[in-house]
Amino acid sequence: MSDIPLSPIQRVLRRLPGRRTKGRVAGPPLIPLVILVAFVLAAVFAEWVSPGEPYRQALRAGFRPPVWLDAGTWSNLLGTDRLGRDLLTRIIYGARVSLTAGVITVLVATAVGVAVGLVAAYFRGRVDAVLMQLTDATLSIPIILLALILAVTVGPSFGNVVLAIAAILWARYARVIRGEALSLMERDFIALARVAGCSPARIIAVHLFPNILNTVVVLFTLQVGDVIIVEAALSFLGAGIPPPTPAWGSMVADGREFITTAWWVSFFPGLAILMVVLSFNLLGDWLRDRLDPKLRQI
Amino acid sequence: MTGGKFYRRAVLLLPALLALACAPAASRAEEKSSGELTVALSSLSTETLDPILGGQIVKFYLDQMFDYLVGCNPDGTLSKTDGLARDWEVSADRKRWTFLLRTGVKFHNGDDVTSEDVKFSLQRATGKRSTTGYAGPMRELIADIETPAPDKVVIVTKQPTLIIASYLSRALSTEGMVLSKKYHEAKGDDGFLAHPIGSGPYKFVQRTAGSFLKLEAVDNHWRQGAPGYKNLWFRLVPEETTRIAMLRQGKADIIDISRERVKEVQADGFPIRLRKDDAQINFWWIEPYQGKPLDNPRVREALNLAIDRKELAETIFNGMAAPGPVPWGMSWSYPEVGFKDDALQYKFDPKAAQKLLADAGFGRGIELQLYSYRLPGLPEGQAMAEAIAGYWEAIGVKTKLVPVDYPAFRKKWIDRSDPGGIGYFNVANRNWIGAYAIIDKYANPKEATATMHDPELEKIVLAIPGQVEQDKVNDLMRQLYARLRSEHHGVGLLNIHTPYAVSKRLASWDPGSVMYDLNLDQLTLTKK
Repeated sequence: MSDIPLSPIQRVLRRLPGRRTKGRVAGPPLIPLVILVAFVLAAVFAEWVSPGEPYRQALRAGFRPPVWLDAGTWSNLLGTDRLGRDLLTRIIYGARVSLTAGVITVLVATAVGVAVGLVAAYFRGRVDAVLMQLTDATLSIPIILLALILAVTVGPSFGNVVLAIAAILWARYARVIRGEALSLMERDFIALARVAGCSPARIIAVHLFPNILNTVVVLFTLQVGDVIIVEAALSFLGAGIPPPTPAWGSMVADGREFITTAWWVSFFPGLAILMVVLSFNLLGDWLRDRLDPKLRQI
Repeated sequence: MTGGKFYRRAVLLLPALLALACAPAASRAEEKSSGELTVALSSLSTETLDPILGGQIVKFYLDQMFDYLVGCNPDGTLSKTDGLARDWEVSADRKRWTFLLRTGVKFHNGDDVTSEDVKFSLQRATGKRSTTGYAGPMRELIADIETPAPDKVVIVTKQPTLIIASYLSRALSTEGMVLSKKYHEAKGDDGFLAHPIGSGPYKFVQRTAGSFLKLEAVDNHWRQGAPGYKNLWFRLVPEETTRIAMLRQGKADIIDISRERVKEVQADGFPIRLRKDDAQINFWWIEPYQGKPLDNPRVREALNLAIDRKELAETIFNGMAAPGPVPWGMSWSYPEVGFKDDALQYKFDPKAAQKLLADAGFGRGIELQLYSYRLPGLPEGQAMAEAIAGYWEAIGVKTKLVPVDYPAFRKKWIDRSDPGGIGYFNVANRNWIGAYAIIDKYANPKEATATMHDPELEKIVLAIPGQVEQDKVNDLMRQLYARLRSEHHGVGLLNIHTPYAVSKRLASWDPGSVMYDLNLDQLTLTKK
């Protein structure tokens, strides 16, 4: 063990469930898992678990504070927004939007990025050069800018958000997967497969892909959190999921003008983003440690 | 003190005492303007300095630089003391309008204002390049402009009309602003834009697009002598928090403020001045909507009945609005033409709205596309659109909200690329002539801006310009409003009041009730 003193944050993180302690990878992080499972269940069963309807407005009940503050009521536990819609209900429905956007986007980006990375690594030469230049060019495009252009030209929508983020995100996968696959290409089992007459498609699908799966899973988990943040940022800027669909980012934006008088309108959706993204990141960290053979053998 | 000394001193002091005694009667020309007046606004709109290039929405500063042919009072009535015309008369056949000009009025470069300048300005305002609000109707109406003397202008119209004086007044757009012909011809359009001159109480000093406009008082203006403030600033400050901070720090005297922050600023002791019924919010549909659900009057009525206007006014508009049910019903014109909308208010009745939809054959609901955007003077735009969508959803109208910038919606509207799509605007309130002109734009199927197709309405619209008796005009205007309401040719929503927070020294300022005008004359032409 290193003698370097730990910062207070590091000490807290070490105590969290699932952290690697004494050179061994512990069990999965329980608190992040519980949070994620809770949000996933809430998203899936929103119609049953939410206390109200996400679009039902009651203007005269606008800006009602959370239950524990003066003028708060049990019918609106976390308060209401400007149009008198129940915040808790909208956060629960918002989970559906954020999680779906996160998962679908990362799935699309993963599929494209993994395919590009594996093909580039297998064929090398011109194919590799062209694909990697394309990847580098893609990585230089800011996601927010692309999403804003899409929002202005074809209008903001769920599909456009997924498209804008996935159109850039695949490149990150391609870079990492290519690197991983390049080292695998030097291994004997790939040479043997070639000698045995396997087609390139078979080698990529049967021999390379299963061996980079660990990396894909870890990246997937870490990227879902990132995508949720980006989606929230886009919605905040008005280029994301259009209203009145409850999306956490646009809910934060809705309340920013009233932050001094009705802080809860922005705070609770922001808290939901924080909890979900942090949980995904902690889970991704643990998966990385758990699935990395080098770390596993320490 | 000896008697001799006393008398000597008295004799020496006499001239000074006399001067003091006479001071109130002295001309204001001998007084000097001093101090600064700063108006900080969320939008300076088109920021143009040329009255013919969409100038009406920046009238509030152009009218400090240019004089109108016909002046008006803060309530919008025409005035023979505040415009370049000291008098006017119309011939018996109502086709020759003679304006007598004030003599001795000078442009900022020292040239005299003459009838040739009036003619030049009017020809320019009605030319093809002009984008002012009423350039089109004026072009159609005016046959000739005669200048028999330097202080006399005669406008000849193609048909009898009652509306020339109003069209050329400060009560409406910018067609009546008078520019210097000689200066303009010497400098050209670009030179004029770079350094415009007029004959108003303030002259142009400097402008930085997207930031500020600085004007300086003339030494002596014909209306009241030296203006009250040496410098007049118009600053563009989009962030409301910054505008409020400027007011608190004494760096701004007048700021526009959203309705929900009025109480906060009032609590700090800053007076709030309201432009009452400053604009009417109207929702309309992109033509051609024939064949769409909106073609059916029952559907249009259902959309109106579904909205609780009172609730909207009290919540989203913080009590600074009142129901205004007549589409394009300009309430400032109601007293002029003898119209009342009290009995025409829509009752909030979602059940009746649902029944109307069912009766119209849309029992399973309909789908609509509602564009959502903010507008100058309407920061609540998007929240309001979301609330309207909520009301309509409740009666079975699936409303897809499309957040855009207003220019994007306007393009779709003019291009008619989304038939039946719905948008809205806070239409600046105006007198009956202004109301007529704007209704013509929306009701005339030949206009790109048309949003309705109703032959009965068209008949009324076409009958108005040729009327020479005010009673008949008033009757037709009442018919026009009644038809717009009975056929539900839009969703007339609310008459909104626009709040301005002002520094404590301006507590008595009245922003008046003239279209796109802030009545700054009350401040600039009055000594502090």
